[in-house]
Amino acid sequence: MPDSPDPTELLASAKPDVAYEIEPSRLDEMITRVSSAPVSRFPLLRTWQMRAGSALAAAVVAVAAVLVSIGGGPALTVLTLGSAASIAGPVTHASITPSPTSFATTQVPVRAGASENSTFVGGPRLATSAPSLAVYRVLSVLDPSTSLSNVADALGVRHAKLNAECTYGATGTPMLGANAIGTNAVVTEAPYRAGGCSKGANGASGPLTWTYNLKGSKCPRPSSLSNSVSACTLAPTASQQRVASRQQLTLWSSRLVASLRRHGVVPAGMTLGEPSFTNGTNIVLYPLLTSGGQASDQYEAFQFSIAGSLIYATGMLASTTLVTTYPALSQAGGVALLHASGSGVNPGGPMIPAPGTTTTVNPGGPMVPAPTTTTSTVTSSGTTPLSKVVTLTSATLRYQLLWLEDGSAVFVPQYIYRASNGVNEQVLALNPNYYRVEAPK
Amino acid sequence: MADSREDRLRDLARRSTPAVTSFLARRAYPLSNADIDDLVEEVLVVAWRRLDDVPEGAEIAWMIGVARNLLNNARRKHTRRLNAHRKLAPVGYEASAEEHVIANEQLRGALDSLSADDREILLLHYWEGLDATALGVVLRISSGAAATRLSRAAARLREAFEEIPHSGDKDAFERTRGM
Repeated sequence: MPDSPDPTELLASAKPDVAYEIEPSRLDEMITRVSSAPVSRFPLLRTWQMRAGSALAAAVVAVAAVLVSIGGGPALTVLTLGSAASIAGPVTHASITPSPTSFATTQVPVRAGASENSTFVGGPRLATSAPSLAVYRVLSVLDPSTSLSNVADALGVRHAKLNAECTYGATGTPMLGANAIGTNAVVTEAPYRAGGCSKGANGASGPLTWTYNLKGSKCPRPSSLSNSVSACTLAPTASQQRVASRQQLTLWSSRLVASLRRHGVVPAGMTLGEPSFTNGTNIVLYPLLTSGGQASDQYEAFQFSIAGSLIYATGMLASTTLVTTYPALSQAGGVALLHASGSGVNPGGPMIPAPGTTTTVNPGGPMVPAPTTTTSTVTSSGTTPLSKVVTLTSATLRYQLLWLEDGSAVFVPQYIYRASNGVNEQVLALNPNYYRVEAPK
Repeated sequence: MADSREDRLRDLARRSTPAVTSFLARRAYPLSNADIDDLVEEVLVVAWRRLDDVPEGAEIAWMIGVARNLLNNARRKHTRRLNAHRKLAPVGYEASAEEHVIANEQLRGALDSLSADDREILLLHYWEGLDATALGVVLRISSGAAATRLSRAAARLREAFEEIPHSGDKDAFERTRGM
């Protein structure tokens, strides 16, 4: 042993032995799996956390390191959308489940998802000028436990105790989240770490949403980072079937909104729009608006008993900030995407009622597709199915929450078309030169 | 010479995986075997995509470089979110490999005082056995620059080592050797 050892020698001596080797058969499996994937010209910045969080990956939007500059202007990052992202098609749902009870029986589905043969035509009222539209980054909360406490306090959860919890997504992927369990209710933050619950797992995202459930509720909590709709189909209880007046619902919910504001829970960079109501369910929905005043697909939602006690609520924790503006399609130009996307079919997608829809169809019965109004039909041959021509009469701008590769999220603009058959269609409003769709894995 | 693209990947994977696995296990301690598998597969994903970019004769170093980038990306994201998750994070979430495996406090202190770049090149050389050429591939610099950077990092380690008081533990050297 030297009297004064050289630190580099010490360092070399401290090299840890590694006993682990990947089994050859396991390595072969990996190689087969990896080499079966198509080689992309514009590779995604995939990370190991993403793969681990496969539930999240299903709804992910990845940002490719591709910059596009047109006309000498500043370069913009091209968005690469996850394979599950819907570019065009029927309006599906708000990302936040508005109710734990069955509202399906009193609402019209937005879209039947069975219009493979529809041909969409833009009406004369659609704008033909192509604007630039903002894209917003959605920032998860910096301190999940404090935000959780604030939600619990704001909604009157008594003696809440904070817990980190490991939940499992639909694919069995473990995800770390947190809850505040009180004596009367539970507040849950959407699972925010898709890299697993074990020590050393890396996070993919902070929590973006919260959910309140009265204790004893049998409705499921959001179980994935995408917080996609998990419509609870429990039959309404007797008390829920009794309908409160809109004035009552507005009064009850406005108190809670004020309380959430006092506790700093209403997302920074967003405002609440005018409330809407769903028939027969005592649900109040406040749309979240971007700083530009446009509606998003996110809501603060509250459901009450006939006595005015809160049964269920959900909302956003995240704040938003402007990324930049992107060239967009005109309203008329967006119609073409409905054809390019396979006629806007959303196979396997949920059939969710449009918030605020008031028409009553088949009360008490199963959810059924909306009847399709055919404005004209074209028969090309005996073997070709009928093609229905649907006129898109008007368009509104709305912002849709999509996920980024790094686990954060963005609000991107989309056009919501009102069609002559009463069905809503949506397309991503960004100029297609500025996004791509990831090939399915 | 492997024929198809898949054969080339298989050949590359078989030759480089032991070194990549060791690198990941040493640098991202404590990682479960399943996590190492996941990371290795991610390295293979990158290799598959960039198979034509793999430099001949420096394949293993290139693969270690890919693994290093993946780890760095993961750490950057982790750092960004660390404050957010601090209250809920499991204990030991931030521990680095060096903290766990270097028993000699004087050496650990000296390493801690170095820049991340210095620490990295020293570990790549003394732990992974990469020479200047391989270091150049991993760090995307010339072999000459890598040699210079390594030499300077070693000098700074020695300086820092001397500045840190001895613990008086005569067995420190042997204890470190035994890790």
